[in-house]
Amino acid sequence: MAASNSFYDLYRHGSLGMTLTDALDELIENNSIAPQLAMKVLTQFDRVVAETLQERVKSRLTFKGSLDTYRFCDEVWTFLIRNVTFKMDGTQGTVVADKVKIVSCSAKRNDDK
Amino acid sequence: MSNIHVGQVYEAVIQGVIDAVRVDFEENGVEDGVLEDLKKVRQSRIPFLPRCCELTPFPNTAFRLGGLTLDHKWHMKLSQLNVAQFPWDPKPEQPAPPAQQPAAPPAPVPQAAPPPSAAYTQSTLSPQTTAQPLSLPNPTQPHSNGMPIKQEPGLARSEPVAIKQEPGTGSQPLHPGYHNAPHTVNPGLAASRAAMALQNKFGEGAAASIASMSNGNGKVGQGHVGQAQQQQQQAQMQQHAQQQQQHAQQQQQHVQQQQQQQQAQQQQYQQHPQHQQRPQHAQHIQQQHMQQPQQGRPQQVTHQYSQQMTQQIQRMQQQQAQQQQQQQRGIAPNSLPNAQTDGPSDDCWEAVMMRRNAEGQAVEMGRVEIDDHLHAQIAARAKQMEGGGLMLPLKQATKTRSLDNRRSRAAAGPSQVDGGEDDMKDEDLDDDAINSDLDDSDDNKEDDDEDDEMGHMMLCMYDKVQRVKNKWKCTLKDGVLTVNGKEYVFHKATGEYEW
Repeated sequence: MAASNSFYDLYRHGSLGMTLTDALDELIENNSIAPQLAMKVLTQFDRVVAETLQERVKSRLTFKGSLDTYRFCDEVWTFLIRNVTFKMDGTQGTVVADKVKIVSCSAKRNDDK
Repeated sequence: MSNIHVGQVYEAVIQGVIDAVRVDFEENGVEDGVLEDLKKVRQSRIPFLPRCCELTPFPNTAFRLGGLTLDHKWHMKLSQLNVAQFPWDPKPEQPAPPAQQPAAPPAPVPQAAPPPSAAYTQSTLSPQTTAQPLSLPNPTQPHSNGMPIKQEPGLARSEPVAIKQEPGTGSQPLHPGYHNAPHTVNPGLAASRAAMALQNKFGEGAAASIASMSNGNGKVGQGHVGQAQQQQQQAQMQQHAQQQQQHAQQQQQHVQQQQQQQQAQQQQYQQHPQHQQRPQHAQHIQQQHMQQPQQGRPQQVTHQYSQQMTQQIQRMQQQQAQQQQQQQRGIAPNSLPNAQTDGPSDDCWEAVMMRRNAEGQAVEMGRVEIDDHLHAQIAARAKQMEGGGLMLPLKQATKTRSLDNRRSRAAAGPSQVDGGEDDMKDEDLDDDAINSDLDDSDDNKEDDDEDDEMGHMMLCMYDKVQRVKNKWKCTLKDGVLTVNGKEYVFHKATGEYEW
């Protein structure tokens, strides 16, 4: 599964990934599936999420705020931003949050491999 | 309108995952070699599938709900699923379940029919931030000290026996500010009202019951008071029975006098910082009281009544003092407050006094001290509540709780049978402890991180991250953003922020 290695497992921490993980956990606990199978599902999930986001999402977003913490480790940027204002394109308008954590992996790694 | 896309995108993701994994599942099932296992695997895959698919037509917050309805349909496993889902999705207020149900299990294809999702997205816009103030339940909690006092009037109204509480509350040396508060007066007032009501209803026939009423009042101190006093009191009871009519007319007067007496008592009480002096003082007054009946009775009725009240007060005080003496000597009180039908107020205040005594300070606490005391206690409670609150991640909540337990266990004194005080004390001690600062800061950091992960989070790829002095600019792509309980997906995002 060389292909699956080139995708980040970043999105597993989103709600979609978390629900999937929970569901798989339940199935494993019920002995319905083997843990290896669950891992396979998760790697597939990594791939599908990345591809789907690339292919199907067109929307743009801008945001402003004050940076509280920044961290760059192992090619992963982590920002903790306070008083953020998100502006969606289209009719969505703005969304305000007092703090947002951004975890971001390099987009280039995908292309390299 | 990235928010509406979310449902479709997620659905696409799930569909893609299921398609990609289907072969693996079937392979896995075949390898097990048992058809039933295969079936199981398929079925087990299906719960996951319709669950997420059912959710996806609703953007983000409807997730838990989808899980819920499914759990109703799919019993055992899925109820477990439901529980597992709660931590990451703290949205209790989703009104209606989606109409579509996964009625036919073997249909792995998602029923895409998306109901009007706009209403959902609007209604669930930002409950998370408004629900943030975690410590809201606290305001009721810290008042638990005051609760017994507040309950007293009700108790006293229903059963007049609660008169004897008066001394208990009246004799608290700890809260001079409360002495003039109406609730300390109320029990007596209520009792007298009850007596009056009895009198009005049943006339002479009620005399005995009223007498027994006041007899019940006197019972508290009898264990510690000489027999002569008992007899004398009985004599007074009879006297009372004879003269109930007059009493009824003069009840209000009694109450007023009673209040005055009480206040006088409190003043006297406050003048005696040493608890050991109280019994002597009390006996002195009782001796005075013994002499009283020989004087002209009919004129002295009201006076006697009030005197009786003061005597009861004295007895209560005496009893308390004796208990305190016993506890100072390390002897457990054989006679727990005999007729404690009147809530825990006495216990509470005694506990405070005991604690002070145990520390070797027999001096009454000043008002400022008390205020600090209460403050610290309330703060401690608030902390506890936060530790056990709903909003904390499970890990942390258990962590802090276990820590608290350890602390309280470690530092609990030998004679501390009374709840909250220890915790407060422990908190104070912990603040002074050497390692506490480090622990606290660590905890806080964890708090921050956990909160972020629970709440607002963006997962994405970065194209560029640039910085000029303290100005940052970054170009992100393919991201999923969770803010205020809603989710957004974006293809490109640019962020500018200052550090």
